[in-house]
Amino acid sequence: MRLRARFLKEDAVRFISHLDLARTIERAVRRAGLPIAYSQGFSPRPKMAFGSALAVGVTSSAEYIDMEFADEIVVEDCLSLMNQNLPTGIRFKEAVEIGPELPTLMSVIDRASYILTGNLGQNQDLGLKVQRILESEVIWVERPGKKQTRQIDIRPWIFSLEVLKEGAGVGSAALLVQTGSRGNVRPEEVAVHLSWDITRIRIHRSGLFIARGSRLLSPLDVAHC
Amino acid sequence: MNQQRLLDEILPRVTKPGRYIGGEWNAVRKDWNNTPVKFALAFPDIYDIGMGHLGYKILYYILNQREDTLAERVYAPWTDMEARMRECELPLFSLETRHGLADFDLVGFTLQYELSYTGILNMLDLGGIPVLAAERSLRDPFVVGGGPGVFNPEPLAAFFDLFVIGDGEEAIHDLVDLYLNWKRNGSSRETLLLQAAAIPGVYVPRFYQVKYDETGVIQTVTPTRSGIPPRVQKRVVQDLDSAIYPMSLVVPYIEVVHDRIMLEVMRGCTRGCRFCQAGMIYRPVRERRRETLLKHAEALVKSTGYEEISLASLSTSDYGDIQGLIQGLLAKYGDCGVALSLPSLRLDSFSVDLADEIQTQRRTGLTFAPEAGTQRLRDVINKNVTEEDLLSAATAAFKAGWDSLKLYFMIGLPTETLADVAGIAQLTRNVLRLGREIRGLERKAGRVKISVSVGCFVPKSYTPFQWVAQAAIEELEEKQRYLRGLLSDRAISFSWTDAEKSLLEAVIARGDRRLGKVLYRAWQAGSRLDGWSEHFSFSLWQEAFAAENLDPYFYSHRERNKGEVLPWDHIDAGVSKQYLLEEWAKALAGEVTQDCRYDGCSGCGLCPTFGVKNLLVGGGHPSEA
Ligand code: SF4
Repeated sequence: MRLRARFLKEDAVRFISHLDLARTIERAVRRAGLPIAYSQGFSPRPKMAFGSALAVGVTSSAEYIDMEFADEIVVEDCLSLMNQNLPTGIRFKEAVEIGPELPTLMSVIDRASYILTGNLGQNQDLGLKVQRILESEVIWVERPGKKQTRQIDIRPWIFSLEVLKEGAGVGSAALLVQTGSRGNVRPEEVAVHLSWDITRIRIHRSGLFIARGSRLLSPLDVAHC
Repeated sequence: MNQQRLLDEILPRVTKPGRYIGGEWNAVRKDWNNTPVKFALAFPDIYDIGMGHLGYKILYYILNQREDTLAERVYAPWTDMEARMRECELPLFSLETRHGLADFDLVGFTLQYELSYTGILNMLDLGGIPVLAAERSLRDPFVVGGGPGVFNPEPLAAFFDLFVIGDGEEAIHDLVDLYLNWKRNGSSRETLLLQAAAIPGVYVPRFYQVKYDETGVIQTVTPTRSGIPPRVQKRVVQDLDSAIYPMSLVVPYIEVVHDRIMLEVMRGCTRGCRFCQAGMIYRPVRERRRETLLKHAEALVKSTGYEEISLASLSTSDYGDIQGLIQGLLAKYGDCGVALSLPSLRLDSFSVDLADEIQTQRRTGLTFAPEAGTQRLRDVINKNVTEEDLLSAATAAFKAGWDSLKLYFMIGLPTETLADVAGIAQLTRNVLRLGREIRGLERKAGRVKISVSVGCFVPKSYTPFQWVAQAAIEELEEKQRYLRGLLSDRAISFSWTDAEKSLLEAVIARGDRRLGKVLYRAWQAGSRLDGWSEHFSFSLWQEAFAAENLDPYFYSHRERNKGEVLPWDHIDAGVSKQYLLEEWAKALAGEVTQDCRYDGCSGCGLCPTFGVKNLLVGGGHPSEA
């Protein structure tokens, strides 16, 4: 039986890496006594697959995981057992059963939304900066590659950017970008263009989606299709 | 402490911030204000290393079981974190409730490694505790040392209020009880220390005076107060089987060493290797029963969710019921994604067969430790294995399908000549040839790899080699070069330890109280995390020695007179000086000593003086009575 779940990565664990998170969830599954299925071979691995890795320091209310079980389980039981066995800061929120043929999260997720929050500093006009980004035809960023750093234009992958709040020295912006193997924008790359010191702002992932024409579906929505 | 500042401003700017966040599964967070005794378990290295330490897992559990006590973990910050902390005036804090080190009542440090000692001074300072014990006031915590380093605690005497010698399971209760009592009565620090000195196994260095002669050799070590014991006997938990063992372990988020369930199958080892301090100070051998261990495993698998159980001890294949235990564990966990591993294998085909039963060992590889290259030298160090043992173990391993083996040796052992060093290369090549032959049958000869790792011998207190001169740096480096030349082969990888580090280890391991000044100076000059090569600076230490007018070679390179008062003579590990001297004489004569577990008492003196004995699972356990 296959299950797709959404979970949160909150403040208390925002400094652990994607690998750490995966290990933590594996161990929680084992503590919960859930009948997770294992791969074959010398070092059997539990059959779990994540959506999109989250950078260290980023919180999220939209992390997704597919888990495969050797037995039938009740979805609600799975959620509550997981939550009883997870450390503070990781919370399973909802889950649905999915068919064996449903493509992996990794292969279908192609949109990510973020909320960036930070101090504005003096004279900083967030609205203007947002507008400037949206009006740019190209936005070059440097990505370190295996041999040399590459220049990449991320503008085509920025779908929306808007000011959520500006005032009292603090501002925040909502961002929707391309993610996955066919193009990827890191929220920090946009934050830099908003003149934010990325070690001083907060980044929160608010959604992961699958674009179907002009609609955005959540990974749980597609499970029903 | 300003938590938000830590989270928002400091952690985003340091490497591996996951080291500093706490909140792991099974971490114990108690009500700070309503728990009378606050105990910090401080480890003088970073989280990634300290979290693997079994002793602290045990103490953390024991202390937190007490309703009147809370125990929290504290680790050394990496240098980038330390810089940020000092910049923001953030004191060194505990992971559980993020209290500063100075807020605790008792601060324990485990002494695992000589090169971590300056890190202790640094942690005290970062934690806002006066580094010198004499400067602490009623406001300050008591600083307590434990671990193998207490078998020569003298270089640290100025920085610690007290040391606990030997097994901590029972002594820690005595200490906490005493503290509670003292706190109620509100008396001076000295009162507590005087009372503590009456607890068996507790050593309070300030109540001893050390006198030196004009050459710097110790003349006398004498108690300065009445009622202070002239020698402090180590604590021994005789019935390990019914001793408390953690039923839960903190499960870290980030990767750390020994990140798995550790089942302590036994404590102590009586094989009697003459270079090995652990083999002398952890005597006698005490094995846990299979049923007990299976119970521990069951509770720990449930409470941690770990995917691996490792059978921990100094020499796990010596455990009397090893096959029964492995079968019991495999039967129970073989099918549910929990693997087994054997970290310390004896050198024989029996051990290889055990490893073969366990699939995980495929990943982790096999390590054998012949320690020395020739039979003559192995007899000197009483490493009772022969070349035949090694070759038959290697044969078994290659036949079972392993392509690579690790071999561990030492150079600089007493009486060693170049022929012994050449013997290391010879032995390695014999293993390699064997591997190519056997793996060649499956056309896999090309895959055979031997890694040889060679440490420098460091003489330690409470071993038969406690009197010997360590080889000089030039000699050790010369031998390393010689060996490297002999081992040049694409199928052999060769690694060795830094001779300068080994020298410093030897100095501190057998140093006296005067070294405290050198440690202090070296710390002030920037020494910390010296176990990490990127931080170790030998010249910094050389300057510290010069400034204090002390010669490191006096400690490392001088053969001690047999009648000399040794700095650790007033700490009693149980094995008698007489026995150690006899062993030293036998070493020089190339005579071996048998394992007292199987072949009768070899007269080390521990059992009769302490009223203890080896307790093997075959031989009637007190808990069965
Ligand atoms: S007293 Fe005898 S039996 Fe006991 S540990 Fe020493 S040598 Fe072994």
